[in-house]
Amino acid sequence: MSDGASLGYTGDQNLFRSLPMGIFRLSAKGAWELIAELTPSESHGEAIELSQNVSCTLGNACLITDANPSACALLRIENPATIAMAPVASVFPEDTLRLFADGLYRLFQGQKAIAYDGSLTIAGGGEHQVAFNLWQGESDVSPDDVYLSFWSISERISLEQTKDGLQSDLARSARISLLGEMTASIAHEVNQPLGTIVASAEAGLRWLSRDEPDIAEVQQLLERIAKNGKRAAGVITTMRALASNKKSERLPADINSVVEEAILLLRTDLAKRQITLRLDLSSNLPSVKADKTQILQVIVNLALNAAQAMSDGHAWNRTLCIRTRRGIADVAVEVEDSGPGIDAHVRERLFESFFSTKETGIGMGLAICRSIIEAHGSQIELQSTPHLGARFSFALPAEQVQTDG
Amino acid sequence: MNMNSTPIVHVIDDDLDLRLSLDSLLRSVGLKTVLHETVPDFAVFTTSDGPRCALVDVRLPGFSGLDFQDQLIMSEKSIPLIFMTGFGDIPMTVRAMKAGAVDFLPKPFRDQDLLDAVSRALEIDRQKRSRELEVSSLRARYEELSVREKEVMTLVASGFMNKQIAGRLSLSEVTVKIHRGSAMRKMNARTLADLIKMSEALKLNEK
Repeated sequence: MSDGASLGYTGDQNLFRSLPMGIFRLSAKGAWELIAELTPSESHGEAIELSQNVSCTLGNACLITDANPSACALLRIENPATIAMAPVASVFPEDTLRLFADGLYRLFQGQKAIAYDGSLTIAGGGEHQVAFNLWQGESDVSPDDVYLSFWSISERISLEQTKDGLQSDLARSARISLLGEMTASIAHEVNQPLGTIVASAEAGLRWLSRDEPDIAEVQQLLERIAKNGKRAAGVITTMRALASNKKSERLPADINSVVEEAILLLRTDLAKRQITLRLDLSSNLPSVKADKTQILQVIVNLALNAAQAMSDGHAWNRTLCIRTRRGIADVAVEVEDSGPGIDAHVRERLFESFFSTKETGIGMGLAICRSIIEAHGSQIELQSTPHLGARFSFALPAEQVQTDG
Repeated sequence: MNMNSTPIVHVIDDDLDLRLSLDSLLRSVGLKTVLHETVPDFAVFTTSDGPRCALVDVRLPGFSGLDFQDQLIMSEKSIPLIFMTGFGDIPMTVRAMKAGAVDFLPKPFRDQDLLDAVSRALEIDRQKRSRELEVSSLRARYEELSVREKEVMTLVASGFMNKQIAGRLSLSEVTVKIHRGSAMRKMNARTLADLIKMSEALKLNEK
């Protein structure tokens, strides 16, 4: 098969040999017959569910009739003869085989070119991550020929992973510095229930040591102790979530409970700044698919910024409003303040890294908030009215989107 | 005014659970309590007869404990204050103490520390009230004096001799002596020193 002339190639043969991407020519004759058999005529145009077995059978029915030098190099095949007439299934791991079978099926249905990402099995072990293109030979000349081209995307993927890793490290370091800003507030939030616990316990001892111990009073005190122990633990859990460096993951989350956790950390800070908090949380919201820790970080960050804007701007009326609302296919979160608003020239640069209007700020907070929300496929929007306040909002896609029919 | 009325402790904290625990603690030693979520109206403090004090969280949302203290000072309706502070409220604490707070208790505090501070605050209020009671009875007696007797008493308290007073009021020295004697009798002052002290308490002074 290394003999080009025997392949019926003439003009394109040089190109086939010299392309820097790997190309297989496959004979799909057996596969076409199989698909025709499997597809009931009435289901034309609709995707069939390709089972593991069907994918395997289709992969085995496609034979490699030629491979260019780039393909051999990528797969570390020293002697091209070893894969001549081999079923293409032999070079695919299971999941990619399924993608390939799906591609074949779509070619059969008349789609012109198929592209997908997957992996190839390297001779002697290991896998290569590659991008595939799949197309059919000209229908009047060689309809049974299918071409499969591929090139390595390992580098691109490792770059993406590095970028994701950096982004998540950056988000985490911002969370840590956020926690640092709130140390006093968090300590107070833990101290408050501790104060209640200690006072209740001591009161209880006094009631018990009376001549006629008051059991009902002591029972109430004990209940209060238990409740406040849990309250302190809740603050610690939320704080630990912010400090955690677990990998970013998207899970169904209840946005209202994320807002409530944020409040747990912010309450004292708001009180210290004489800010009234208004919560306007819609009930019966669908859950959203999100990294809960990162969304918590965004809400805390936006609220803290709003609080600082109001107290630094010496606003007379200080109200922070956090709102959640249901959209058509998403859930919106709004953080609104009654501060001085944001100047137009500041607004332009607001989300830039290392831009800060605060003396002690490093200017990463909002930049990271924006990248987090963008990574969730959304955007942070800002509305600002001079002297009346600013409103930051973002929407997260709802988990269960209702579809018609 | 009845000095033997049960002392009342006002607890002002926005945290319901803490408020209730402090309430239980104070009741366990037989004190009466009144609980407030936010700074109450001053009228609350003028209705009670017995000594009172207030336990105030320094960091109340909205109208803070310090604002409350400022207002009390301005209105001259003072009531001894004990501040409860959370973590990192040192500057606030310093301000509160400078403005005359009885004590401050960092949360969480020992029950004994709290009860000691409360009894100290109540004692301060009790003394202040008895002083006020004394002044008001003095004032009542002073109001019984005739215009001349009041004039003479004021001038005596300001350090003028009988002869000088007589000159100032265009009276004879003998008449001044008579007014002075009857003022002392009506005021229940046994000596001149007593009369002068009373004048000071009543803030009588001839410039």
